[in-house]
Amino acid sequence: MQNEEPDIRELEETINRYKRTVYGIAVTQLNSRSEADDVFQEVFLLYYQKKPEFDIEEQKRAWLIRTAVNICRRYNFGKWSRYVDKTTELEELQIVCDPGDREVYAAVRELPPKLREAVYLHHFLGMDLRETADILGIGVSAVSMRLSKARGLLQNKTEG
Amino acid sequence: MSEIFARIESQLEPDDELTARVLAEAQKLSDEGRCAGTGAKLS
Repeated sequence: MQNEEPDIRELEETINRYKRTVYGIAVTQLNSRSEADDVFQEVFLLYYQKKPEFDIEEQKRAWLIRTAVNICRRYNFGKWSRYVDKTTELEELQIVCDPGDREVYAAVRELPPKLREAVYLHHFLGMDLRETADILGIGVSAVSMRLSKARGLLQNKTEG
Repeated sequence: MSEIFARIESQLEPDDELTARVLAEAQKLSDEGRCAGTGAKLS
């Protein structure tokens, strides 16, 4: 699709560049394709409506990630349980992987949301500790602690 | 762990239909003058 309007065209380019990043955050944080679809729409429509200005592309990426994380937090806050619905299988998320990958990813999905956020940003998106801290609105030492705690839990789950 | 995530992340892609829906909604907002960058007032 190629739109004539510059603003819509810019939005389309932004979506094409960051759709996997935003959608990945939403699926991992919410464990639901339908909720991830809603978050995806909300993030990019907010971007379109606010039209934030950035000096460098990296700032745009950070804005989109921060917005996605915050919207996911709102969705999770309203849930009965703060933890993952373990009945949601990977097949339902349309993720196919080998047994080893499945075990690790399933363990990540069972982490408490705060730990999952840090793990996703640092290990999935490759953000360093400072970037992860900025996105999450916490200090670098808090990020380190969350990652360390997450690693401990993941080790227990995948080895036990 | 990063390699596992990279393999899984490659599958975390939204349907093209979802992108089309966002663009259609953005076009609607633009037509209604509800965007900051169009010179129109935010309602």
